[in-house]
Formats: sequence, C-alpha cells, structure tokens
Amino acid sequence: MTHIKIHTTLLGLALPLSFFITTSFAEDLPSKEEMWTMIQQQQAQIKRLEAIVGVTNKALSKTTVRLEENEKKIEAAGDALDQISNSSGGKSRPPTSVGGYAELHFNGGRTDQIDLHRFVVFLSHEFSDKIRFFSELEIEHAVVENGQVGAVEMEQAYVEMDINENNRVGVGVQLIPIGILNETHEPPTFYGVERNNVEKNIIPATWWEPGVRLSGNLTESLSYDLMMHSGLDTTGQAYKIRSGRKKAAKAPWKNAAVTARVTWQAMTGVEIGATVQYQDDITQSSPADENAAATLFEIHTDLKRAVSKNGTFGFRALFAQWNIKAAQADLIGRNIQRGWYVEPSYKITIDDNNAVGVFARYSVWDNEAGDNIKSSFRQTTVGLNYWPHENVVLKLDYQIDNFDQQTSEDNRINLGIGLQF
Amino acid sequence: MRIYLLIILSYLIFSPAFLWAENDKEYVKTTDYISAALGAMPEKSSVIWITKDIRPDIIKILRRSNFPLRYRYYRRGNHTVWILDEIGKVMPITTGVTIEDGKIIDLTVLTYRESHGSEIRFPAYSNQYNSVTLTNGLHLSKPINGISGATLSTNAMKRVSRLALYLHNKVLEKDGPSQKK
Repeated sequence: MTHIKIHTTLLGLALPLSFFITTSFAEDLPSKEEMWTMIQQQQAQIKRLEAIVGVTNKALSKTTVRLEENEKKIEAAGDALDQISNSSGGKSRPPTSVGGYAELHFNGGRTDQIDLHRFVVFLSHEFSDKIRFFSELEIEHAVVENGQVGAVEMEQAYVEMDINENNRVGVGVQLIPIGILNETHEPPTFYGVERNNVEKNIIPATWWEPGVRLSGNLTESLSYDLMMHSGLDTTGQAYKIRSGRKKAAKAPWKNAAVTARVTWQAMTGVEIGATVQYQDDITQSSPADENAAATLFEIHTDLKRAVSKNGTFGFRALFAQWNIKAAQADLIGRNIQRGWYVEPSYKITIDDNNAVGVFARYSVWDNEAGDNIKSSFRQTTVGLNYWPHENVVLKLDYQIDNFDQQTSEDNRINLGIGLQF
Repeated sequence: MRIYLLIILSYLIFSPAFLWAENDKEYVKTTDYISAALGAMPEKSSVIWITKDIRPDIIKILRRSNFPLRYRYYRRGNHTVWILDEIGKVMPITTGVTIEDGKIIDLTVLTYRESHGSEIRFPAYSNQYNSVTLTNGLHLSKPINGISGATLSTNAMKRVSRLALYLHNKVLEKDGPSQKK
C-alpha cells in the first residue's frame, strides 16, 4: 500500500514538470528561416573548403612532378659524375684498363748493387663481352742504350676471344702456360726478392712467344691450355735453354713448338699443374748446330690455405726437366736440364693494411745434368715479406749458395720493394 | 710436323667463328640472376647514395677513394641483390651478391674478363661466401681461400662481398627490416 501511494505522488509531480520543460525548449529552437540560413552558410563553407582542397591537390601534383623531375636530374648528374671519375660500378665502365707493377732490388754479397729490376705497364681493352686485348710492356734495369744491360720488352700483346662460357682462344704474344711464376709474377704475389732460379734457368721464366692458345675449363676443377707458338732457337748457344728465347722479335717459325697444360684445383687454395712441351728442333734447323728435338716436362703444386682467422699456410713445389735429343748436347751434358724446389711459407694478416710472411726455399738446378760432371747449383733461401698494403711489399731474404762450381757462390742479403696496381 | 702445326693453328684461329654461329653468349645475365634471387624481376632498382657518413667505411673496404656516388640494388623483403663491378688484375669482374638479413646467401660471378683465374666462377670457390656476415671491423666473418694465380681476382671478390654486406646493412638500417618474407 505504501508503494502505491509513493508512485502516485511522483507521477503527479512529473507530469506538470515535463510540460514545463517541453514548452521552454521549443521556445529556444531556431525558426525554419533561421535553419535555412544556417544550412546555406554551411553549404558555402563546404564549397570554400572544397576549393582549398582542390588547390592543395593541384599543388601536390605539381610538387610530385617536380620531385620526379629532380630525381631524374640527380640521376643524370650522378651518371655524369661517375663517368668523369671513371669509377667502376657505375652504369658505364671505361673499356680500357691500365695496370702495372715495379720492383727495386738491392743485392748484397759480391754482387753489391741496386737495380730497378722491372717497371711494367699493363694496357687492356675490352672490345665486347667476348673479345679483349691484353698487353704488357716492360722496362728491365732502367736504362736501355748501347753498353747497358737494360731492355724494353713486349711480353704480352694478344687478343682473347671467348668461344663459349668455358673455352677461349688467344692470338698474339702470350706467356707460355707453364710453372708457377711464368704467368703470375707481380712482386706482392711471391716470396723472395729475386724470382726463384729453377723457373728462371730451367723453364725458363719469364717466357713468352707469339702463337695461338686455346684455354678452358674441362670441369669446375680441371682446366687446360693448348698453345702452338714459336719455339726456342739455341743456335750458337750450346743448347742453353734460357738463351734460346727469341722474345717475339722476328722469331723463327720453321720449327714451332706445342705446349699443353692441365691444371687441377684440388680444393680452394690448392692447385696442381703439369705441362708438356715439344719442339722438333730447338736449333731451328740451323746448319751451325745439329738438329735437336726437345721435350719439356714440368709439374708443380701451389698451396695457400687459411689455417686460422689471420694465418695462411703456403707451400710451393716444382719440378721441371728438358730432354734434348742431339749428340752435341750429350757431349756437354745439356741433353738433360732439370731443377726442382720446395718453398713452405706462413703469412699472418695483422690488420686491414698490414701483413707479414716468412718463407724458406730449397732449390736445385742443373743445366748440364746429362753427364757425370758435377755441375748442379743448390741454394737455400730464407726471408720475409712485409705488406703495408695488399699491393705493396717490402722483402728481405738471405741466400746460401752451395754450388759445384764454388767460385760462383755468392751468399748474400737481398732487399727489395715491389708493387702492383 | 709443320703442316700439322699449320692445320692446328688455322683451326684454333678460326674456331671462335665456327662456334659462335651455334653458341650465343652463355654468361649469366644480370636480369636472370636478379629474377632467380628475388623470385621475379622488380619493376625498378633502388639506390643508396654514398653520403659523407658512410664514405670512410667504403674507403676502408675498397681501399681507394674513387668509387661511384651511389650503388643500385634490388630488394624484396629483407633480401637485397647487388650487381657490382670490381677490377681484378686489369679487367672488371661483374658479380651478383644476394644477401638476407646481413648474411650472404649467394655470390655468383656473372662475367669474368681476366685472362687467368676463371675458376673463381665455380661453386667450389664461390660457395665459401655462403652464410658469411660482416664483423664490426668490416671484415668477413670467416677466412676465404684463394685461387692460385688469381690473387688479385680473389681479393676483388672479398672487397665486393664486404661492400655488398655493408650496403645491405645500411639499407636495412635506413629503411627498416621488412615484414614481408
């Protein structure tokens, strides 16, 4: 009963109050005319805002176009600057390249001399993706004139053409594919101030001839070289191999030679190579000397393996032998000319720019090994290389000679600086 | 002997002409490499400019101060592909390097122009770079064995891989890693 009374009382109070509120709110509402005016004002405002957005969009489009134009200009400027600086990696790359190397030697002992032994310029040109030209021009011993020991030599000048991805042919003056040093002899790439005497006196490095060379990869680890080239001419040189090089200077073609090499990359950093060469007469049928067919056999290994983060162990070994079929060569023991060497080394890379390596080499060579007369040369060399940059090297070594002909011995210190670029 | 030598000589000289008639260029094409690395050839390449702040690092890696103002690259997700030229002995070697999240996942020599050392084109050599990263000192995270007679070419490969890793890291730092895989 009490609840019913309370509800009735509240209802009685609420009805008059709601009437009062509704009446006063209706009096506060704008009239129809006022509402229409407000709508028109809002419409005008929307149109103004639309106009502003339109202008902004146009400006944005223009800005976008300008940005694209500027990007194009920046790209063009970048291309032009890259071309000027001749940098690699840009869109355009100069087809002509220049490189080179040089080495200055001091030889102590009885030799006691300093010599700008070699200054070499490489000039190469890429005609197309398939055809390239390589050249190497060398000045030896600084001065070239009568009475001086210097020489200007064109050691390479040939065109190389790709047959396909794995085979190519080279035509012109080329280095004979043999040994370790004959093709790669830039000073920072080998130990010792002077090049080793086995490759110098037996192979004989550096050896270049004009001819045609077919090279390629038989498999991913097996490569070959087959070269037909002008041969040696030992006329008047008593079958001395090194003196028989004609160096592409009006070299006789009468008795050309054929060289074949197979190289096996047993694993990364391990190469084993073997070369055979045949020339049917190294006197070029000269009436002054007896005809002499000659065969050269060479085998080598070149190992360079990282054994720690900064340490690389190296090992080079080479054996080479000439067999010359001539009675006159037999008489002076030059029917067999042979040599071999072993060279362990260890290189420590100190930082980005500095590395140091130590080595020892034992060499034996004999250009008159075909008789019983003792005529061999034995040499032990120990030393170190210091690279202040990967392409610059300072060298120091000490050589101990043990020759059958003792008067030729010259135990000495050798110093050298070499570079390549 | 001489007649046989002349026959061999003639064959060797003219063999390229005979063989070219049947063999088109067989090097790996740049577009093929990029497509294979990213699944498809992107519409356009991106560019990273060698600004003042990163220039000293590039000099340290390349050991010279002469290099392009900018390098182009192709990106998909966190993969980037770099096509770079670097001189070995005298000729430039064109190399493709694919990197994912700061780690080399492929290095392929696209064109080798040097006269010696073409073995660096083969996986026995190039696979050494797989999973290699760049250390804080801008070195490769593991030693790489070279190829006999191709010291300069293998040095060039090391520079190219370091450069690609460095630029990749800069791109990811600048643009942020992608969520897309």
